[in-house]
Amino acid sequence: MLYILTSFLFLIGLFGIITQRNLIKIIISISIVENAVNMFLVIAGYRNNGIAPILTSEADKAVITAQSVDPFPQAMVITSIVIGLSVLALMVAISLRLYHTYGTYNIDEIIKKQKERS
Amino acid sequence: MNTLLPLTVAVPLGTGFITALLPKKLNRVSDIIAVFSAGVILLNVIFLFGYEGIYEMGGWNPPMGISLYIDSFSWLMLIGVSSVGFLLILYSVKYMSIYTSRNRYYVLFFMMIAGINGTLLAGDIFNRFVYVELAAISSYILVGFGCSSRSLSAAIKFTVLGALASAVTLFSIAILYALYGTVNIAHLGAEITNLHSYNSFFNPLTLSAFMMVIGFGIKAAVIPFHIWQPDALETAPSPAAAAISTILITSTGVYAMLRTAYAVFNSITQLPYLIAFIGLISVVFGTLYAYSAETYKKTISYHSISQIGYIILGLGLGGSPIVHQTAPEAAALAATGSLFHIINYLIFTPVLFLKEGVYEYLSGKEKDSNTDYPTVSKAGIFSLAGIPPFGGFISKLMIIAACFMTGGLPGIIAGIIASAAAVHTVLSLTKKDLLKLKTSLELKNIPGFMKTPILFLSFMCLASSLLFLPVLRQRFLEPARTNIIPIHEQKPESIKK
Repeated sequence: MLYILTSFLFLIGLFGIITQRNLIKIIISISIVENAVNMFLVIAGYRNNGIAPILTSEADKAVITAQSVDPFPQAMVITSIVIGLSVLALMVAISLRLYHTYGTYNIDEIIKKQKERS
Repeated sequence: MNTLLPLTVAVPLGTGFITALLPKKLNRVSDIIAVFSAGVILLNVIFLFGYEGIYEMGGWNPPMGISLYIDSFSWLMLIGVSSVGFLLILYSVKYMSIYTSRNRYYVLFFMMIAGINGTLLAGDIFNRFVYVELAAISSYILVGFGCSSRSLSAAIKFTVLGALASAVTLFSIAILYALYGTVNIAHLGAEITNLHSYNSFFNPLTLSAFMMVIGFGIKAAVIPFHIWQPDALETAPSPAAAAISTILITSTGVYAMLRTAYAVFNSITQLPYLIAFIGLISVVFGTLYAYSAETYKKTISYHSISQIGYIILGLGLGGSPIVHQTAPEAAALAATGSLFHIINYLIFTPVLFLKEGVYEYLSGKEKDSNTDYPTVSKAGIFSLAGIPPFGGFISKLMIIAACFMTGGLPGIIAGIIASAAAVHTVLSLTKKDLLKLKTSLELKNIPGFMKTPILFLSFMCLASSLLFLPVLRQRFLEPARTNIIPIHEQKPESIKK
């Protein structure tokens, strides 16, 4: 069920990227898509009533392997969040520069102004 | 364990960090460091020749730990990438002096090379994804490096599509992890072959394969996903455009897509046809779009899409199980031809962008397609068009001949379409006056640092046709082919319920 919900969130983001003409809205849609994928990964490693996979003493080893959630997707999610953040920062920086040049975030207007200049 | 293997990723990463720390005044020093370490990477890769094996990072075992993996195919790509990278760095030393912050450019370039080398060597799909992202983020910034309004809008287009591609790829990896609980390529391939028990075509595994093809297809700029490529290549600095169009697209796009398709999804028998079909579409529409392109760089960009199409067409054909059973020679020929075409593509595309860079450098502004070019750089165009003595002719001929040799109707139709597109390439280049031999620019006006790479690559356009000789072919191309194309054995009856 949760898998379907995250896939739905992914599709919402995809819809936003395709239909929106405002750069900021496109950037928000991309963050939605990325977060949907991250949530999907976390759910893939989740186990009902699982405990945190932190090993405090040797004795806990059997308990951890039997009951903890899978730590591997969480490591992957952290990496992908960092990548997503850097891409987000880059996109915001580029669209700010575009705003300074053209005075608008709308893609259609940017293309129109570009054609007028050349 | 070979310690040279991690160095191919570590050296460019280290160079990136060192050049980032240097102040702007020490541009000369960053030039020297860049050329030196590009040479070190090249030497390093040459020493790796013939080595095949796994390097376990930090001594952790493969299913959980991170591993680097090299075989003949990765070596073939590595040597292409590092030699083209070295020549582009040599070229950039002079060319980038028209930009203000040259050392920042080296930072991005070496980060990109680190990402590319990592992509070629990564032993698990999640790490491959991370390396692809490293290369891609650097290339987004390289496209917008000039900070002119046009390059910025090309960069935002590229970034949005690239971010979408990475999200789709990650989704596919997440599905695989949810299904099989591992991301190591070798383990995943074995698990999928053993446990492949879906009876219907619509299942999570095919969805994952489809998403993987879309994600890497956007990076490879094949036709339905190509819209970022012409703009990005037109506005990026010339050596960066040459790097993006060759080493970035072939390794993070084509290599990553085909490697994942054949090593992980080898039990989905329909996937090679999808890949070959995408390739065929790119071949046709690439040349058609090139016909109506306005500027020289756009023309070349569209033509490079169609050349990538040939590579994907050949490797898709070579990997399909039915072709393997009915006409094994055709499959082998198609795959060998594609690998050969990758090498040719890596050689001729940089020439086309670099010689345009010479004009930008000398005149300080972009020229349109009506200018004349020094005769020697024509070799790139000739190899692209497939004029007989050049390497591009032989590899293209091999792929098209393999299409006909499959014997089936779809193969023959594909062959006819591909050969028509090859003829159309020549026609459209003739219409744009790019195939005429004219010299208007004296070679002595061009600085030595810019002249040497162009002359060397032009010479290699001709010399690469020697790879067709059986001695060299069996040494370089045949082992790589056996590495990438999976052996389709009679599968034991999968568990059916």
